[in-house]
Amino acid sequence: MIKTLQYIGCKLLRVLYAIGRFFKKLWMHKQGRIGLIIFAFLAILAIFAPLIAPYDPYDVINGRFEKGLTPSWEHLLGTSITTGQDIFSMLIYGTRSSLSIGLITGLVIAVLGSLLGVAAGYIGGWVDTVIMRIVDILLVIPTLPLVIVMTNVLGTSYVVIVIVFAAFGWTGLARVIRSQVMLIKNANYVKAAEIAGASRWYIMWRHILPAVSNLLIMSTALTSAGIMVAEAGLSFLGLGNPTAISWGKMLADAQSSGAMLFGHWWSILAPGVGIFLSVYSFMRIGLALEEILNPRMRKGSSMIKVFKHLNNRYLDEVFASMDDASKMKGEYVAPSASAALPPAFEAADVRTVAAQAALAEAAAAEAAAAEAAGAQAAAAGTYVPAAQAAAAEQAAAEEPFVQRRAEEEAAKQSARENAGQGGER
Amino acid sequence: MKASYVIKRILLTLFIFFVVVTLCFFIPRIGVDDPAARYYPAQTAGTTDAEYEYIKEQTRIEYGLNGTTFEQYIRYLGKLFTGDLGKSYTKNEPVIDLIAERLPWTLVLSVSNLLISLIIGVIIGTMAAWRRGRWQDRALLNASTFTTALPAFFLALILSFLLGFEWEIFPAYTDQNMVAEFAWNWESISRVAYNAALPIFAMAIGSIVSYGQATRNSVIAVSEDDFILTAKAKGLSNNKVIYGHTLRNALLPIVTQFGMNVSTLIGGAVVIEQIFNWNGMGTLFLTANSNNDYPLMMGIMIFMSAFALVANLLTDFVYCLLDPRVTLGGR
Amino acid sequence: MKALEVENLKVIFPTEAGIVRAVEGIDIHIDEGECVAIVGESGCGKSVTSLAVMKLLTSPPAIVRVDKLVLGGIDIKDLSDKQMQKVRGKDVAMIFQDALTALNPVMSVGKQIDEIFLAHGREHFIDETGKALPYFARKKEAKRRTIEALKLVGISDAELRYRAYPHQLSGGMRQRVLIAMAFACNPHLIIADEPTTALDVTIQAQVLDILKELQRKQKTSLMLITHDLSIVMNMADRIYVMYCGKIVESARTPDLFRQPLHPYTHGLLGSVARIDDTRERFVQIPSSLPSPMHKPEGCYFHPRCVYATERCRQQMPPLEELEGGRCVRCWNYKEICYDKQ
Repeated sequence: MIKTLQYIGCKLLRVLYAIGRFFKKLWMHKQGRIGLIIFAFLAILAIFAPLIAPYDPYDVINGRFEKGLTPSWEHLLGTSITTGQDIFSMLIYGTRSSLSIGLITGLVIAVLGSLLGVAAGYIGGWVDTVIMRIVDILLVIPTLPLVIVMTNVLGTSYVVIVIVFAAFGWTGLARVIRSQVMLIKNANYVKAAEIAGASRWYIMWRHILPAVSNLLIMSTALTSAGIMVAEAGLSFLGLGNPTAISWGKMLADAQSSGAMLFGHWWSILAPGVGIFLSVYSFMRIGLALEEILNPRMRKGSSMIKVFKHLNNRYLDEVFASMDDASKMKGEYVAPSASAALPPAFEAADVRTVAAQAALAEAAAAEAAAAEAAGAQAAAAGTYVPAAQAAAAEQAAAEEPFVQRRAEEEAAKQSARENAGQGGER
Repeated sequence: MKASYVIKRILLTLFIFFVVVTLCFFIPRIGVDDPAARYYPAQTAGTTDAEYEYIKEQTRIEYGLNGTTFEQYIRYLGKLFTGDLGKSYTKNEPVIDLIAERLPWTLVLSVSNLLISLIIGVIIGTMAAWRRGRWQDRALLNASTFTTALPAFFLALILSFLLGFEWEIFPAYTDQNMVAEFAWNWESISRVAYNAALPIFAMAIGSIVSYGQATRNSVIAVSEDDFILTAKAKGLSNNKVIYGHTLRNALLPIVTQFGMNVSTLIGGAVVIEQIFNWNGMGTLFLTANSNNDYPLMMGIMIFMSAFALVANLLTDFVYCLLDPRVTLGGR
Repeated sequence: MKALEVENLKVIFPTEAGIVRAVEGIDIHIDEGECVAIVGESGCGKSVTSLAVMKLLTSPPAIVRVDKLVLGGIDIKDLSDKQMQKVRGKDVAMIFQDALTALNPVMSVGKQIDEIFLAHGREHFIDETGKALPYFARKKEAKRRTIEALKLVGISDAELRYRAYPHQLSGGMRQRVLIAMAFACNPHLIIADEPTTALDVTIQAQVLDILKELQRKQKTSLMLITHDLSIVMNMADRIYVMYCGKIVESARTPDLFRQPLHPYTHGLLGSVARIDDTRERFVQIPSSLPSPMHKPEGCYFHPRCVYATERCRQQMPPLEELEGGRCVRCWNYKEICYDKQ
């Protein structure tokens, strides 16, 4: 009994640890951080909506005010034209429906899609054929009209909406997972495990699920974003849950009540921004995960950055360090690999403000001196160790380069740790 | 071998179509004992029950809802072969006629949106790939996350508010006489273009960026391939390398994306049509929905699915023509 | 006149993690009609050298500096990309390693060779009066020449193969297409970058024979880049041995094989099997190539060199010129005497 508890606790800790690592990875990624921050903000709004919102828009008595008020301190975004609800409060309450529908449907789709995808990819045979035919069929039927018909037939409660979206939204995920599983299934290390006598479940658990899980999280974030757009569209068409407050419905009400005609742009902009922010945060997280998964995606921009930080003097130094001693005139300086980073690099790493200021001053003076010396030397045709000349400019110009290097090192370190831990598991 | 694959592919398409039709036949019957009950006229005071029963039977026959469900199903399939999608309940006209009436107007929007976004998107994407990592490229990337998170209908509302109501450059609502007074002359066509500008613009922004991003990624992937180096080593001009080798290969995935978009040509503009009150398939469908006009709704669904199926089929065949590595049959 | 003169070629790749020094000041001279091999492990900068000679390295990611770059009497050091387009394919051509990826998968191989003629052979496309041929006549003439070129490299049914796509040909056939492509305009210099690495051993021999035969017949200079010394032995007149972006030894082929001076060359030769071998096992070079970002101080080879001295650890030896056109970059080459092979 205790052993079982220990075992479960151990597993739980592992899972928590994995989740923590996942968020840390996401946090290290600039775009992912933006997404996480926005998402956390929206989640707080959704959870504490009754505390944050100044009025309760669901309250038929105390939540109704004069219709079509313009923004004031009392009503930050005015009141709606049709019902006189406080738009700011509606905006905050609208977070609830949008986020919950997006997340819940996203999760249901993740479960459904991964189960069917893994089944199709791993079991193969007729299971694969049947699942892929269903995917083919669902891909052909236009999604939005189908969802509209289904809500028409089944009603428009949130449960129905989640079920309908999930029933027609799993196809893309299942396809991706299936092809990934087929790739892994045919990989040599899985073949080796099979030959070594590993059971199907063991392979599924140890090899396939870990490889697919990242992909799963990524596409869950992206499908959730898509579902939120679709839900907003559905309620904009007046086909969502009629009793709940949602951003799509707010937009529809504003449009149908002539908010545009009256110039009440805030009543259109506010729910729109809400939709945008929630979808944007999910997409940011999804795309950040995609980039973490395939770091090759945006190699180019970092290259441009590196080239921006280069300067000619530094390059001259690098190229000069490659020359053979015999070709140099004047005193022989042993070229060394570490000369790629001139001495000033280490100096610049001293992070105190005073030291940096002093360094910059010294560097400026040295630069002037070195430049003069360099010019003289060039005229005289003698060799001056370029390290000195370049050092000054490096201190000022290359500092971001160094800092980024440090960051890069840290990131690499953490990546290595992760890899190590992954290996241990 | 080739012919057998084509036949197999077409048979599969027919099978999927059959399943879709079956689904469309049974969905309106979920949880309903008598699907015709929606269409019975109210029993007026003077009619006896027997007379009312007769009226009901007449209604059932009119909408093909007489007999057992299985009989209805067979009859439905049979009619489908003759292109008969049933009769609309509210408009009292054959569904196929209603579709034929609205289809061109939806295509005006979606086809021009598709072509505009394809052309501009490919140009922008190629430029971004060419200036990889510079501001043009980063702008495209940022725009792509921005526009994907911005639902087209919200963009449409903003556009119709700014350009339609505030500055009054384009009409915020479609001119309803446009359809009735349409003739093949310059004036009429320019009127359509004037009315269609905002909806097309609202739809195109997102898809331009998505085509641009796809093209960019594809062009960059291809330009790192060895054969581009070979082409340069042959001494070909930059134009030859870009148009003859890079784009030729990079546009293959774009063809797939284009095919997918073609398949949603009819069903993809429902919300936009609603916002601008555009007389297309989308508004037809929404009206049918609010009137519970199931024959019309299901007819439209079947038509859209058939269109998507044919588009997918054609895309596959076109892809095989463009990429010699993909032989029909082996994939 | 020399087919190629390169002096002090340096190539670096700046990256976020630091500067990768790919090529560190190398000199290469190739005489007319000569076959010169550049030998070294993968990652030593051979391929980058070949691309730099073609001026195919773009900035970013690469930065190239060179003191002299003369190709068949044309100074191409300061030529713009546009001017280089006239030189590439016509005066210098390249054969790449993996013919499957080096050929455009969606274009028939014939069309791909046509492009060279259409891009360079303007003088071939004029009629008797000196006027340029019309478009279709040019295409037809290019096709005729392509089929001729395909026949030259021993492709049977050249007319049929003209229409084939790369994936429909065998590996050896594809490599022949690349060779035909390189010899199309009869250039001064052909750079072959590991031309046979991706092929089966039996096909390798065929392809090399064709390459050698064509080179002799057309008196083209050949720069053969490879890690495989057994190829070099039969093909090359002279050999440059590269290590970590520097040339460590250069010599005429027989001299090098008879008496390697640099310990690295000795190690490379030690891994070649010979028919008269009596050794129990091959000599192998311990450890692997250092990272191009963090090269060791002193002689780059010293961590792997069994003969390394204190001096080797501190100073990079110069490339010393010896009699008979040999060069070697080693402090101790006089002292080291290898076991008789």
